[in-house]
Amino acid sequence: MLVVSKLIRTVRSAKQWWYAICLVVFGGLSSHAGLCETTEPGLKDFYSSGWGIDSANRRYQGPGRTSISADNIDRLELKWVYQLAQMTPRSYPLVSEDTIFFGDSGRGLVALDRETGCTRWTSPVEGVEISTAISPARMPDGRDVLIFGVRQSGVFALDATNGAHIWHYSFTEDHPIPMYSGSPLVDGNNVFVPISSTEMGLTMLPWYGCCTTSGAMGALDLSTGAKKWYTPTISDPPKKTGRHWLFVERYGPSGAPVWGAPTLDSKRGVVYFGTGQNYSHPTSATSDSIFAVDTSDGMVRWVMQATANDAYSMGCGIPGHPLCPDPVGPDHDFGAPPILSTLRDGRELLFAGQKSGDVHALDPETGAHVWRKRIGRGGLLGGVHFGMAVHPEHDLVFVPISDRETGQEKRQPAPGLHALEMASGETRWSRIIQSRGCEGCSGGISSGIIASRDLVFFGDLDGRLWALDVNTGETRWQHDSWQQYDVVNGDQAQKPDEEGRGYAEGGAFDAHGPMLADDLLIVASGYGNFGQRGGNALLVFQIKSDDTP
Amino acid sequence: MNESVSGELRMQRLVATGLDWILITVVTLLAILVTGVLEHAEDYANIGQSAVNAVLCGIPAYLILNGWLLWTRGQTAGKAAMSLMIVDHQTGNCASFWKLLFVRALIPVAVIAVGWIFSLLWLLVIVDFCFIFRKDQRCLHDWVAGTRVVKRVTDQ
Repeated sequence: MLVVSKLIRTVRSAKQWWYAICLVVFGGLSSHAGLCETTEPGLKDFYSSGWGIDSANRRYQGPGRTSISADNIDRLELKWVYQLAQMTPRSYPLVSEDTIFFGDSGRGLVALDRETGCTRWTSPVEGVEISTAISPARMPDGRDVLIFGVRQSGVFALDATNGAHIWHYSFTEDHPIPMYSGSPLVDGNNVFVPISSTEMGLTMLPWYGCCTTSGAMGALDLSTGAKKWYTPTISDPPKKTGRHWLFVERYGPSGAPVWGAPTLDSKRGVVYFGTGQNYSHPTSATSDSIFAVDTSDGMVRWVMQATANDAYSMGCGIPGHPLCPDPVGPDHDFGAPPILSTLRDGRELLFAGQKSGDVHALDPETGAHVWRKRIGRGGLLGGVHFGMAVHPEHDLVFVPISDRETGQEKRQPAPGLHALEMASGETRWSRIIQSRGCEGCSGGISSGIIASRDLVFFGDLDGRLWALDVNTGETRWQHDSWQQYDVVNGDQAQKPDEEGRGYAEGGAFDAHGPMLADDLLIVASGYGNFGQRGGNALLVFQIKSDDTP
Repeated sequence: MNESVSGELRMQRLVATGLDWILITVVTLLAILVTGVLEHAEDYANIGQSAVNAVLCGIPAYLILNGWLLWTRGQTAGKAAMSLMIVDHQTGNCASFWKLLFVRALIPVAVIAVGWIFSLLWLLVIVDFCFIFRKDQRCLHDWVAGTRVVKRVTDQ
């Protein structure tokens, strides 16, 4: 076996060399036109600290950080488009004073000039799928770094000035098959890392002994990438619970993955995060839950379980599959990061959206419910997916609801955006987004959203980008991304058109959603999973100045 | 045993190959099930190792399914079902078992393995199969192994 293992390593190494040679040869031949003259990005002023713009995950960009408003939104126009290498982009832009950093899966992390879209540098990273937001940080030695996750490979730190590799860490000592879907959060010299598991996909394989892994939250040292602590969401080790097809043993409890970014509460010294369902029976008291753990050592302060006994696996999509738990649960994850926000009366509340369509307002001290409200139908592809936003001046929580049809739910769907009062959960307004009406289409909102002083921005699954009035929910601006775009990286783009020019295609809006910075709106269009329309367009919009003819 | 060369063997060979792949897949999955080599999360930590484990189950599956037939009659299960057999191209006699096993059967496996490293070389599998459209209907792996496939006719 050792010989085989060595052979594999040799072969894999050869494969990487082959890719490297191809990258140098073909990349070098084809990317000249897209390169900037100035390769060093500005690193003085970043417009977000991570997934949630701020570490409380409010997804709110205040007046000092965006100039886009209801007064000038009619002048918001497409500035340039960059063709991404993959049709299901999962990264979220990080914007500095002159650069947009983005995970261009298949190429690497790219630093693009804000004005023209030319490429300052590209940093290839191990693995193919940059799956998270990018956090800027400064190391104790003064180096500016970028922290992000690659879905199967781990967390990376790159030098922000040139993309050079600094460190990489994967929690494989603690977890055999970790997955990095949620965005890391940087606080001081700590990097908090949410951990899911590829085991969810393995439950499709009937010969797999489901299931033994647990979600987790980990902490790394920013300077070195070394592990500080690791807290699994299921503390009990899995035990054998039975077998099927004579040979295949079953295990549980398992699952409770952490899909979303953690939320920092500096005052209490905790991070909050949500978990998904269990993969097998017995279920745990920590699935579909909100956790509060100590930032210093990962000790659990409290856990609020919203849905108990929820065991569901991907095998359940195949009738009669032996790895579908019995009884099967509703799959009511917390995929979205919790939001910590202060109301105008001074109270602090923690808001969490669930795939059931429930919105929870919790006391951050204890995890006790202040209020709970269910919107729409929820379910496998329903409810809240990637994230909500708040408006601290208006005391509003904006709740994007997906509610895609799966044929399993009985409640009335409510795909669209809903504004709730922070204090009570009462609905201020609801805006149901109608589908285009084509087969498989949906007006649901799965992706993250972002709010500004008077507008809230989101993209729907039908590829339309919206700006609604925060007070009324009325449409102030819209863009249809189901089209082909000319791109700034045409010479290095894939799939050229009939005239040999590269182009990008828009698709469903999903994953992390839009970003606001100064007079720019930046968003990736396309998400080819779950039968949705793939796309590879990184769209950059800008407010056209008054004096532009 | 007599043999006669049929001029239109392509479809039978295609069906026989399809049957072989289906049967080997089924038996390989059974081997995976019984041995448990892909039963635990740790088995998927290295995707290359997972692939090798699957192949290591496929080799005994191939031998269980085809070993006796290849040894005695120059046939795989699929070819037996379609009344085909593999003979030495020069002599027309039943081809050597070792040549069938270590040259003829290994070539597609080797091409797939190489294709795993250098993606575009997967195309060689198609090139191999396209050789069947030559007049003598010998695939590339037949050329390398010095064999050809003929219709098997048994005397009553």
